[in-house]
Amino acid sequence: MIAKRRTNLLYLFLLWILISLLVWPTFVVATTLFAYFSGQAWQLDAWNLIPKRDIVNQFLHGYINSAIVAVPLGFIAVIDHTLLSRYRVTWIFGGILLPLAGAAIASFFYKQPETALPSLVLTGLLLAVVYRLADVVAGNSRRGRLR
Amino acid sequence: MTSTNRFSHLAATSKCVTAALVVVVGALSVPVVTQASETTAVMIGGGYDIHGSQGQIELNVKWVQGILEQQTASVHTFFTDGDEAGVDVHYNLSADQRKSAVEPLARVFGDWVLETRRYREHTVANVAGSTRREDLEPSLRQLIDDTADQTLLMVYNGHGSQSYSTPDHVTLNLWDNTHLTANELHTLIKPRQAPFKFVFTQCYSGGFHRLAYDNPSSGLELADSPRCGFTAESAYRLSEGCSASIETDDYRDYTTYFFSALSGYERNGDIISHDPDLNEDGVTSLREAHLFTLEEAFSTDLSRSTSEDYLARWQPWYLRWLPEQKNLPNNEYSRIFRDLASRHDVELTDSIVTDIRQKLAAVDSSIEDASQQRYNLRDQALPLQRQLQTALVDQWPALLGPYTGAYHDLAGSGQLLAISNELAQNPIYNDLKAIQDQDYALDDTLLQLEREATQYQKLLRMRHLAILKQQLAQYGSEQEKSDYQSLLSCEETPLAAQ
Repeated sequence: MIAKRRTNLLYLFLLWILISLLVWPTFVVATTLFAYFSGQAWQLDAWNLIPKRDIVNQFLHGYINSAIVAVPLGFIAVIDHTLLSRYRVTWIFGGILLPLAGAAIASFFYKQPETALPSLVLTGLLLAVVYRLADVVAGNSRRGRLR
Repeated sequence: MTSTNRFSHLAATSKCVTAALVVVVGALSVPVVTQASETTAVMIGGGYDIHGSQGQIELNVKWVQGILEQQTASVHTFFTDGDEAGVDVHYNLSADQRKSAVEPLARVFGDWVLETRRYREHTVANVAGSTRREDLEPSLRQLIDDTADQTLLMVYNGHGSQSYSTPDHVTLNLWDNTHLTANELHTLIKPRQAPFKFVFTQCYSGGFHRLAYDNPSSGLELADSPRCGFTAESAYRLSEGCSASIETDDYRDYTTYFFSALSGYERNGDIISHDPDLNEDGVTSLREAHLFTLEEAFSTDLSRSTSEDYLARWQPWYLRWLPEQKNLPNNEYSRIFRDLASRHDVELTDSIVTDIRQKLAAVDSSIEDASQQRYNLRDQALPLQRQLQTALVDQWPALLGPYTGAYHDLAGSGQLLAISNELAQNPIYNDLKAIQDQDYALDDTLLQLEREATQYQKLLRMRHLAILKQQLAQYGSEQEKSDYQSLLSCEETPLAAQ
């Protein structure tokens, strides 16, 4: 019982780290996808007009600075897992807090939420997919906490 | 707590004219020309050696020098080798002067470009000295000291080199292949408290915007004294110009538009198309001249001012990567965006940005096609040249050594001209000539296409700047807004400081 609890705590810790690490790259992928289809974004012009090393530097700058948002988001994933993975019926909704958190960030922190909302919700959805995949790989869908 | 403050907190991203003469010509209003002022101008111009010292640079320097002499207290001009003896400018013969008796030989032996080139000493008046680093640097130090209580305006018209590290290592390429980096110039002007302004038109000139910052390598903190400038390009792109042509209509660099806005007249003496004085205060400021250039220039330059460089550097991580809003705010960049869109037949629809990108992609594709066509023509020309060279050298071996006595005899006896005339009748030579002429014509085609592509890029850039300016107002800290305003104040002064 104690071993199972330790395993679960270790899993939650790794989930926190994984989601926290993936927040910024996922955000960049999501925004670039929207940017590509809308045609309006810094990165589309930067690709042709500035050296790739500067784009990488901007990416790394964002990576470091976004930690203040990424770490809490990783924790939200942990809360989500703790709340929703216990029963099969709630597990279906596992990860829902991440796109909701994305929507909350857009609404609360941006002057024009409509510009950030789609990208942040998509970021949350993509992170939820990662989270669910991690759950499947960890075997939590077959055993463990699910009953 | 406002959302701005919230995000700032979350992201931790804190950061005399003595007389004015109004010139009105006909029904057109032209900018005010100010006289006698507290501004000292330094004009640095010319190439790094004779092969990089094009005639158009000299023409630009002379033209700008004239405007500066009218509008500033004093002008100190440094040009190539100063007044030392020896050629320091090259130029191309005009089309009607290109009748060369040895044209066929020059074409076959690959010297046609050089055959149409001539060399001479510069004709710039009142040259204070050479731009050679060891001569220029002490002179600049002295000028910086002497103008401690005056505005110093530095205008550079020449070449520059790229930096492969930080933008502050871009260079001014000075005479005798010497250099001065933005970082070194930053150190030179560091003691100054009075305003320092610059207009740099060389390739990669954007790196010199770092002069305005406290740390030349990185950071957003501005220097203590007011510094601002205008550059033809970013720190990463070549600028237009640097042509050896001395036909005034053949080249149009940043200087061409910027100083015409300030003087009210184009280089050929025509009155400019419209009044650049946007706020109608009777004086054209440097920034108004820059905005006029953005609007009017049909060149390959994506010009920028220090305040625009600041906006691009300021944009925080949480805004930079997001898709931009569709609706444009109401500011000067939006106005230029709409004007340019109208000029380039881009409809102001919801899909305007994707339309611009499609047009840009189409022009880029045409540029690739023209480049490929040029490669193909050169591939066709090379075997013809080799075939003709082999035949000629077999018959006249002296042609191989143009710096030998045998070649001298060949030329002295008139045989060289006879060979050239005979060659002109050769059908293979005529094929070669036709191919080469097509190749040279493609240069113009490519230049026009690149100019067209730049207009679409400029549209996207104007849109981006319009949004950036709005974002600064919405998300910037008080310090950041104040810094931006101080740059605008510096840029919004006329050529002659009041």
